[in-house]
Parts: sequence; structure tokens; C-alpha cells
Amino acid sequence: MRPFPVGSAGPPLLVVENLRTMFDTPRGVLRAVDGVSFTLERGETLGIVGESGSGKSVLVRSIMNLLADNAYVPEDSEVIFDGRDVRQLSRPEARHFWGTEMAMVFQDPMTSLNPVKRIGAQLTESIRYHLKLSRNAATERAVDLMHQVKIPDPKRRLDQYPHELSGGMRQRVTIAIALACEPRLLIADEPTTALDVTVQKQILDLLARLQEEHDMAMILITHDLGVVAGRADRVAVMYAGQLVEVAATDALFTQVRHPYTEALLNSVPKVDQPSHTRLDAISGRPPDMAQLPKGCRFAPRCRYALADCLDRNPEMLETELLPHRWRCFVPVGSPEADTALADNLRAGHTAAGLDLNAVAVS
Amino acid sequence: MAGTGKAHLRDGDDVLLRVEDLVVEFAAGRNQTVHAVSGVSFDVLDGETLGLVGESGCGKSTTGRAIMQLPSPTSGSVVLESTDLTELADEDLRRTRRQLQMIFQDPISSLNPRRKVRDAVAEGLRIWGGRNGETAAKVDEVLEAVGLAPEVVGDRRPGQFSGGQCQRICIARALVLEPKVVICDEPVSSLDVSVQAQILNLLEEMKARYGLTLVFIAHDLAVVKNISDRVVVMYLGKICEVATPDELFAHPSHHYTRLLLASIPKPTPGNRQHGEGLAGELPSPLDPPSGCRFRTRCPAAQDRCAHEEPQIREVRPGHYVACHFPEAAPAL
Repeated sequence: MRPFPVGSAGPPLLVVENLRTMFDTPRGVLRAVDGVSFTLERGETLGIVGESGSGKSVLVRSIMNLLADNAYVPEDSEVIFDGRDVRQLSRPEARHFWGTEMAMVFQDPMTSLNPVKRIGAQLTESIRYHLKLSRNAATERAVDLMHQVKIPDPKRRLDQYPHELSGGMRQRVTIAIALACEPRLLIADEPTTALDVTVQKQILDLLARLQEEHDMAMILITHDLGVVAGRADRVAVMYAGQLVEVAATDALFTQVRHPYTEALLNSVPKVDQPSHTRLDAISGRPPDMAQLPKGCRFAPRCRYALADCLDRNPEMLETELLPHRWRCFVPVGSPEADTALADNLRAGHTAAGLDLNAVAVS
Repeated sequence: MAGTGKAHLRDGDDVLLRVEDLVVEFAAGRNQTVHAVSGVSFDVLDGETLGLVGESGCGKSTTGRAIMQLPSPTSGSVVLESTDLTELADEDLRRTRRQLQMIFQDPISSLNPRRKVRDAVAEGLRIWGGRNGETAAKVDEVLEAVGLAPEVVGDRRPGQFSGGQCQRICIARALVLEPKVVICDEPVSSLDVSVQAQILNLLEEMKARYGLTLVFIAHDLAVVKNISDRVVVMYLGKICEVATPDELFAHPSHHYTRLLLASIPKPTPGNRQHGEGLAGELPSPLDPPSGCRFRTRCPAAQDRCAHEEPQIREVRPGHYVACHFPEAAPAL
């Protein structure tokens, strides 16, 4: 088991241990999630950051046990929620687990709502099923939930269809549905990616307030480092199916260790930089998940890569007591990294052959 | 905001593109009209990058398309050098439009999946009667310029490329006709952050190499700040504020711009500001508010804002705002 973060009381709410999810595809076995371990405390917010295809959505779907039929999860993968093994739940048990213990908010509110059912029917469905309320009591609860997510004029909205609402309003509805049975863990998969920045702020503020009121833990998946910086207690950075760095949010931004995290931070344009600041793009592309390299998965794009990085994939470094973990032989800020970068720059290329003088090309 | 006026237009020989009083309306049935763009004016200097920024429904993409005459605006003028595109006959417009090219948000769906990369890029040249040898040489040159090896990618089809590579192909296709102006409509918003940086850097390089003028449309303020020489902030079909990016981000004067900037989550630790946000919903463009269009959500709105539309005026050198009660910027 992982060391608990300092100051935590009791066992964690969620323990994920060596989770692997594979898909059988015509091109071979695709290792979408490949040995992910982390814990989540009660009331804590964990941000998971990664680019398209890094496996972050498959990771949370595996935690929810909501995978497609061609997915395969080996026996030694563990997802323990409050002492219960989620993977061992029977379907009837799972039905009462989803919604009341864990709930999920998806990226696109248009496709996660049923277009031909009224908002009220969609909102009361889970309330009536899980809480066994009468139609009137459920409607009352629905109106109350709509108030909580700050939808104006809730009574009228209950009779409307999803297409009659704006994107921000629709996402509020999906959040209200997810919160209907007061789950202890909310998984939000890119909840604001489809929304405008001012609406994003409204939704993230709303999630933070509701989380506090209900003492709910949250896994917030995003590709936006700005979103996790302001909203998460801890951040896990995911690359090619594996976590490469896990740290308290402040530590991640001030003492970054993994070269991928560093590269990601440097590639984003920032509003406090002067205009026309040249961006440090990351060269190359993520590996093919069906044909993974045997060494470090980021090595082909890494400025620090040494011969060793191509041979072996580094293990997640466990540090006692310190909750900051990373998976790298030459962590940023270490003397080894400084030497490696200096050597690579002198040679003009890394051990993986990445040209350090050329313009980044995809 | 949201006002009209032309105080921010510049005189001079180096104005390449000048849009005045642009109005785009669409019929919405039941005698209703969508007021997508309502009296927008701006100009772009030769070699300048103009950023058009705003949220969904502000009319930024419609403005970009109206410049291309796709479709022609309801009223107003679009003058490229000394030619008003809105007054040209079809054949003349076709010939002039060669100087304007466009890059779109979704690079994969804007390429024909059944065509080879070389043919997709060469199509413009073929239409304009390029001879085979010259066309092939030119296609190879632009593919090389956008960072793709012509002998490797030339005979492949778009399905074999990632989003970032498809956007490079789209950029090559836009550049092959040597346009004066390239209109980029959200060119990086569907790309991952690491790829986004590659494409932004590439656009800057191409701009320098081919002497391009860019109109860059985006909703991401950090991206717009990075690439633009001048930024126009739009809201519900009107202009709010115009300034250089550094000035705009340091001293936002329009209340909408201020709220927009305050909403950006910054990738720096400890930014847990739960400060002011933008309240309420965007009004319907079928029936926009009278006077200033932002008044229904503006923290500083007064009676005057409902009756009188603010005109664009200069509040600091080179910094223009359409607001009756702008946030006072510190004097220089």
C-alpha cells in the first residue's frame, strides 16, 4: 500500500493498485492503462492530466467498472473503494453502487443526456430508483438540486428538453444528475472542455462548492494544466497508459521532476508572458499503444534521454512519507539530469536520436 | 460593449485589409433574424497578426467567413488593398479571393480522406493553371516548409496522419497559392497542448518566411496573446475592446474583457481565486439587448447603457474601448 499523505486520517476512500486495462484490437493488444496505482482520500480532489490517448478516460472507466466488452483487466488489478473490491461487485450490487457511491460527469453534456426525454424525467430517474421516493417527492428533490447547481427557474426547466438549454446549463443538469444521490466520489471527465472559459469558471466554482458542502472526493480529468493548478489538491500526470508523476499540486508546479511534466508546462502559452514568446513545443508524438517501446515511453521525445532510458522503463519511484512520486532515471532538477542535458546538447541529439537543434516537427 | 464606431481604424498605406460596418444577419424562420455580426469595423496592416477573440456566439467565425465572402455580408465593406470584395462580380471575386486563404478548426475533416496529400495541396495550383513540373516543385517546397518530408508523406492519405500533421497539411495547402492574408479559424483548438505549440510556432515561421498577414480567430486568450500584434475582443456581434496584446492584458478596460481574463485558469500554483466570474447567460442573438449588448451581465451597467450604444473611443494610446463607464486604466 502507498504511504498516506501527511495528515490523513484512516484508510483512503479509494485505492487503485496496479490497474491494467487492455483491449483486443486487430492490430494487437492495446495497453490503454498499464500498471496505475494511486490512492484518494475522503474529500480530496485528484487531478489527472494527460493528452489525448494517454489512457485517462479508460482509467476512470475501469475504476467505475464501465468498460466495453473487448476490454480485459487482469486479476491482479485492484480497485478498492471504501474497503470493497469494485471489480467483484455483481451487476445488481453495481447498480446501487453507481450513483450512490461513485458518479460520473462526462465531457459532452449533449451526448450524455437523452435528447428525447425531458430534463425532469432524467433527473428524477436515479432519485426514484435509489432513494425510492414518490413522484412528487422526487420532483421536489429535483427542483432542490437544480437550485443547488444554480439553474434559474428550475420548475420550467424540468419540462424542457436538452436542446432547449445552453451548453453550460446542460452540464449543470448532468452535474445535478450525478449529485442526485450524494455520491462520495465524483469522477469528472473533462467536464468543462466543451465549454467557454467564463462558463468553465462557473462550473468549476460550482463543483468546488458542492464538493465542500457534501464532503465529496473528486477525480478531475483534464488536459488543461491551468484547471488542475487551481482546483486539485494533488495531481497525477499520465503518459502512454502510465502515471509518470504524482505530487501535491504546489509541489508539481514548483518542483517538477518528470521531463514530460516539465515539457508540458513549457509548451502552454501563458497569459503573463509577453506576446510572441516562442513556445517550447514537444517534438514527436506519443508511442503507438499497441507497440510500446521497451524503455521509457517518453524517451523518444525527451531532451534528457540517455542510453539507459531506451533499455529499461523506469519504475515509479517510491519516496517514504513524501507524497511526490515520479517515474524517471534522470529527474528534472537532479545533478544527473543537468549532466544528461548538457551532454545531449553538446552532442546535438539525445540517445534516442532526437535532434536538439532542429525545429520541433510532429 | 459592444459598440460601434471607427476610432480605432488606422490611416496609412500599409493597411492591407479594411472591414467597415460589417453586418451579417441570417433568417431564422418565423420572421426572426439572427444578428450574428452587427456593425464591426477593423483593419489589418500588412504583415500584422490580428487576433479576434470571444466566446461561442460572439460572431468571430462569422466575421472571418464574411471576409472571405462565404457568404457575403448583409452590409458593410471588406476592402483588400483597394478592392472592395463585396462589390465584385463572381468571376472577379474568384480571381481576387486567391489572395485570401483559410485554415479551419478540425484539420482531419477539412481534408478529403480519399485524396493523396500531394494532390490535396496541389489542387489550388492546378485550378489556377500551374504547369505540372512547377506545381510539383512548389508542392514539395511548401510541404518541406511546414515540416513534412514530401517524399514520405506525398503519396499517403489524411487518415494516416495525426491531427497536428493534418493541420500542417492544411497550412501547406493554404500557403501554396502564396496568399496575402490567411484567416485561421481556431486552428489549434482541437489539438493537444504539445502539438498546439508546434503549430503556433509553425504559423509564426510561415508568417516570416512568406510575408503573411494573419487574421487569427480563437477563444483561448493565452493563445491569442501569444500570436497576435493586435487583439479585437468581441461579444454578441460587436466589438468591445481593441489594443495590442500586452496592453490589453495589462490594462483591460472593458468590463467584459476583465471578466474574461479573470476566468482563465492559470497554470501556476496557488491560483485558487474564487473571485468574480461572469454571471448569467449569453442573450439570444435573435433579440439582442438595446444599447450596449453587454449591459445585461455587466457589473457597472447604468440606465444610460440601455438607451445609448457606446461608441469606440481611445482610452490610452492605441487602446480603444466601447463602453460608457470603462474601468479606469492608470495614466501613462
